[in-house]
Amino acid sequence: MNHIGGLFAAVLLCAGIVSGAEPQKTVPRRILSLAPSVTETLFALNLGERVVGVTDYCRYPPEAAALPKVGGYVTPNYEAVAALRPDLAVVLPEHEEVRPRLAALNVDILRVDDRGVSELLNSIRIIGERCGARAEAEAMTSELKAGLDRIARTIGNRPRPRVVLCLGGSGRGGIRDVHAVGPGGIHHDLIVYAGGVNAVPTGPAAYPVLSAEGFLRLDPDVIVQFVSGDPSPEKTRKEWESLSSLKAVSGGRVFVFTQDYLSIPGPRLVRFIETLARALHPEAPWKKN
Amino acid sequence: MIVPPEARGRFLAALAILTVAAIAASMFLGLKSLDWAAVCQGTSGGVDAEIFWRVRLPRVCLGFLAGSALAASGMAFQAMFRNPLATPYTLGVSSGASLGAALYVKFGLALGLTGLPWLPLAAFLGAAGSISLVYGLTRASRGFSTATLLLAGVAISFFFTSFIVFIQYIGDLTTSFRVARWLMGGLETVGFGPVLQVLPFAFPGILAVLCLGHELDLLAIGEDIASARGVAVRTIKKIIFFVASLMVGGVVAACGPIGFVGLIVPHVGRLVIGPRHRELAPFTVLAGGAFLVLCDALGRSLIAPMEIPVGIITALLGGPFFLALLLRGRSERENI
Repeated sequence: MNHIGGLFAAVLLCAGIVSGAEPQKTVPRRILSLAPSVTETLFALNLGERVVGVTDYCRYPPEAAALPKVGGYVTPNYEAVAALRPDLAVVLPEHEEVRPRLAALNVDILRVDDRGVSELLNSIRIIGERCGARAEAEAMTSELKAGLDRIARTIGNRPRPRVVLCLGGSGRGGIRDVHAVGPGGIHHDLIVYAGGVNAVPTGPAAYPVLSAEGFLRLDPDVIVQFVSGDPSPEKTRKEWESLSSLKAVSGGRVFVFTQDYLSIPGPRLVRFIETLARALHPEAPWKKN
Repeated sequence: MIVPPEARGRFLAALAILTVAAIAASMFLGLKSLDWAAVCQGTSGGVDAEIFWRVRLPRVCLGFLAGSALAASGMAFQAMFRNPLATPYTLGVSSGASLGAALYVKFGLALGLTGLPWLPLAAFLGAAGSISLVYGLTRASRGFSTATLLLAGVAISFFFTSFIVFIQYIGDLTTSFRVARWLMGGLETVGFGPVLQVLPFAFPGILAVLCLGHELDLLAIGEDIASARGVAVRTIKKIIFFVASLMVGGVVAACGPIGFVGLIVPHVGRLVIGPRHRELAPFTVLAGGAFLVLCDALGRSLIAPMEIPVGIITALLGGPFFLALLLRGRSERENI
């Protein structure tokens, strides 16, 4: 058994060495994006003309939707990738298994992390720097940061409401299949930057499922629900009325957002923080839109 | 329906030719129709050559090897357990591999394990752990009883599967995506690395199954009869257990769990060429490989560039085909 395990490790080692060539760093002309958030960032940095391929899920901006597709988000079609001849692929941490295969096709790889607001700002900087758009990236991150500072100043020292941010929901007359956002991660950051406190305590799960009892126990001041593409947000909001003893429900502070970009950690999500902050702190001196 | 004994040799030869034809046909199926003149120039032939030599050819080789290995191990387990529902994954090898992969995805980066292809290694270690555990439990219960082996395998499989779901539940979105992708299984590859990973397990395993036809025949009838006919039952069972399990472990480590091929191909073989392993084993090896290669070709062509994981195609195509064959066989038997 051990011999066989050793042999297996040796074969893997050889395969890794063969495919682990160090790529050259030239300004890319043919960029492949493997995530909707990356596509959005590339277009926001005016690099759209150099993007040669995107995933089937990259639908924003509309120009990106018209580009050649390379398949799914974690399931790219490598024939499609090879046919596009990209010189750079921008990937996320979840593409760990995809990276060696792209490298074997001699595609240079840029890995960015969008699992937090500061990581997202940093990834905009990294993409700008690598793709020869440093000035645009600096301008964009400065603008986004200024926006975040403005929100913080407007909120000032107001008491921070305890918030539960939920993803998904059943839409079947109850709060089933609701995943709450635990501490850490970009959705937790949205609560914090919008001037709230995450009511979900630190635990083993990043996105724990909360039952009705769980909500009653946490009894947050505000409930925010993201249901991308929900055609009837008002109906979804009304479902919470069955839990009328919740502070958030009795105080009319349940907010349902349905924008599709809420599941895409791109620049639009950072801009969304102000919308959320206005919901959490309606009494703050916000400038009129 | 069953091919008459005197024609089985010819039938297998024809199947071998059909298998080669299926492999060749699947080389033509893909996102892009290739310029074969460029492909023939080898790696200097540009994009088309790169697609053929580095993406399509290794993928077809991996598909054939994985399909043959899974079908052969399914056949061996079905004979050894005398249970038509036995699959390559019955003994928990696949859930062990998946648990190894999920543990690596959840904790591997935190341990600084990057650079090498650790995921298949972790998956293989998981498979090896599961094989050792099932073997240890079966031995601990005195003797090497088939029923204990089966129950230990099923129990461990359930236990590990719950563990995987737990890891997915506590993981962040990145972990969930990666584990979910792994559990889908698939034959995507660039280069021959995964083929080389599978080969040291698949080749000896397939060879052993092909050579143990007589013993498998007797085991499938009953252990007492096999023993009376001079088969060293316990030794043979251990050899089959290790060889088939390692074969499955090697395949699952490289391709993830691909379902159904190991269950239905041996049954189709029994319906077509009969239960004798001298003929059934080569049928299973050839048809298993060809079936997976064809399913994968469909999976990567139907909604290209999006790919349908091959495990979905094997179940969607194989299920109805198998049921039709089963019903037809039954009505023919009733008419006799």
